[in-house]
Amino acid sequence: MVLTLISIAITLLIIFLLAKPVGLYIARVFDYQPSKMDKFFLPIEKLLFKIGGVKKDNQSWKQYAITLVGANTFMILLVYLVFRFQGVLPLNPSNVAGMDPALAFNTAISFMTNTNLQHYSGESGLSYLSQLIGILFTMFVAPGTALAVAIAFIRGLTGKEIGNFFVDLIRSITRVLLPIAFITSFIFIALGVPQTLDPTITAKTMEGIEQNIAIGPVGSFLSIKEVGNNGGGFFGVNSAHPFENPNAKSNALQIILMFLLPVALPYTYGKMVGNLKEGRVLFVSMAMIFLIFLGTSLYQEYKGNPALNELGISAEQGSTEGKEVRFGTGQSVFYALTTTATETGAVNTMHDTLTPLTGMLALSNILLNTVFGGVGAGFVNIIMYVMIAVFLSGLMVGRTPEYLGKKIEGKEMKLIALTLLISPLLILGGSALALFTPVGSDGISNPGYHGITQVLYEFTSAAANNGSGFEGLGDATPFWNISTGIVMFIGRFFGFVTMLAVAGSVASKRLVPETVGTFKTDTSLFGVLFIVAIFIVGALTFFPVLVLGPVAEYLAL
Amino acid sequence: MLDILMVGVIVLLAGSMYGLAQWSEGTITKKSGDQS
Repeated sequence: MVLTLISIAITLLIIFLLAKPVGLYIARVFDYQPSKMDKFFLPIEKLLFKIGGVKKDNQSWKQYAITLVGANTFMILLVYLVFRFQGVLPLNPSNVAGMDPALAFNTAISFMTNTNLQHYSGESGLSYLSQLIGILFTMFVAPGTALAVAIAFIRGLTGKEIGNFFVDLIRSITRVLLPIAFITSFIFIALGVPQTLDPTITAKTMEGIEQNIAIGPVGSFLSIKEVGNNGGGFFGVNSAHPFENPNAKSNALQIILMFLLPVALPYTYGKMVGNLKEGRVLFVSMAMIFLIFLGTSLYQEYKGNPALNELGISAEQGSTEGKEVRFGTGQSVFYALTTTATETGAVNTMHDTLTPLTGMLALSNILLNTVFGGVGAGFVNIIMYVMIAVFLSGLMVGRTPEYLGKKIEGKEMKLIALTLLISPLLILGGSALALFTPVGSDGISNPGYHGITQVLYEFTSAAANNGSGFEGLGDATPFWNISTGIVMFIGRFFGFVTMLAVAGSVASKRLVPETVGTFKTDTSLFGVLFIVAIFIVGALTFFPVLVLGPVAEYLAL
Repeated sequence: MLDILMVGVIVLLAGSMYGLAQWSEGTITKKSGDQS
């Protein structure tokens, strides 16, 4: 246990040390500062602009939002067709049949919204063409879109031009996602992850039974899965599969990659607004929430399952149910908390088998969507909570709230309040519908408190574009495919549109000179207020349903 | 038939986001004294 805790501490140290340099690099990319790498990147970008017929003019916030929704919708439709017709398309050596329409609908939206909720089994449900074009392509475009939105949002807050969606998308992919994914793919392959286009291997077991061993281009898939906070597994069991996460080193690298961009963005933000302290306050606040959640989860999980402890079963290794032996309790919990905090959705353990309070904290990470959050989308959410904290502090001191020298007025708060409300509407409304209809509740494999958590987790994962499954839920049905598909789409694009509108509104305002009465947002006091705002809003919204699910289960054990 | 329905839902969802963008623009451009 001590060695595990030391390895977790070292991994976190690496992550925190990488945050600033990576954040400053991203800021340089989107400030269009000259770089030594321009010789390499500019010709590629020029070619892509030429192929796409991209005009690099600045857009208004509305043009930016409509372009991104339109482009993403076009790609969802394209990917939908690839899934439907994969049976007759090339690169299908295992003769995988076309997907059912509702499943194709769910999967296309899932991957284009950076959710990667998988209601199919990766290794047997998709052809190589679907894996490479339908999945791998979207794994670059979806986080690229979110990163572009975050950058446009920051530009708006600082009063700059919003930018051009296609230019930002292409730069996100060519200068951020692709280089990191390219290099780390080779590391994963060196660590034992397969990379091949050969068909599934058929082996004969010692009992004489034939067994199909799925392989494929896993290495190239794995790196972007993690660094893009995508999370969709090449294999059905995701990073619990030995080919997708062979050992402790690959496990640590996956955790680092999941965190890489979410922890860097506060520094990107600080750099772009001209005050690194603004970013550092957010970084430290979120790191504190994460460490509290992680510490509590490790304590709970190492205590073991009370029901099993009572039977006299040793809890020396912690609660090991549902965990891979090669990772153990500590690394499984660390991975679970990371994948939910960063809205990645990759799993190396089955979250269904976490002890109730650990499951609740993993779920809370997704519900809050501000403990770093997914690449880009999480950061936009964080600034939304910052504005709520600014607004509340303004109300308390009786001043019109200001942020970064701009007044935050009723019209911005109206859009923020609406964005804040859409999440519980999707999660609680969806869960209520599933629990009160047989088509939804039939999927529950473990009725009672745990069943409520299964349903709640599924809709939370869809709405926050996380994509991990609590597992145990029979979700491969038309009801779940269609309902979570709709939730993923709205959960993704609703906030993008409204928050870009907020950025556009703020950008058009005049700077208010700083006075002694101005509430500073780069101080530790503001950090505390920011954390309090997150917990007040989060607790008020979701605590009742958490009591019905994981808290009740904890008390019943 | 189901394909048409699924594609229709995707287009409808995208259309609703377009409507949201229009409404958001109306919200942020409305002057503080406007009653409508």
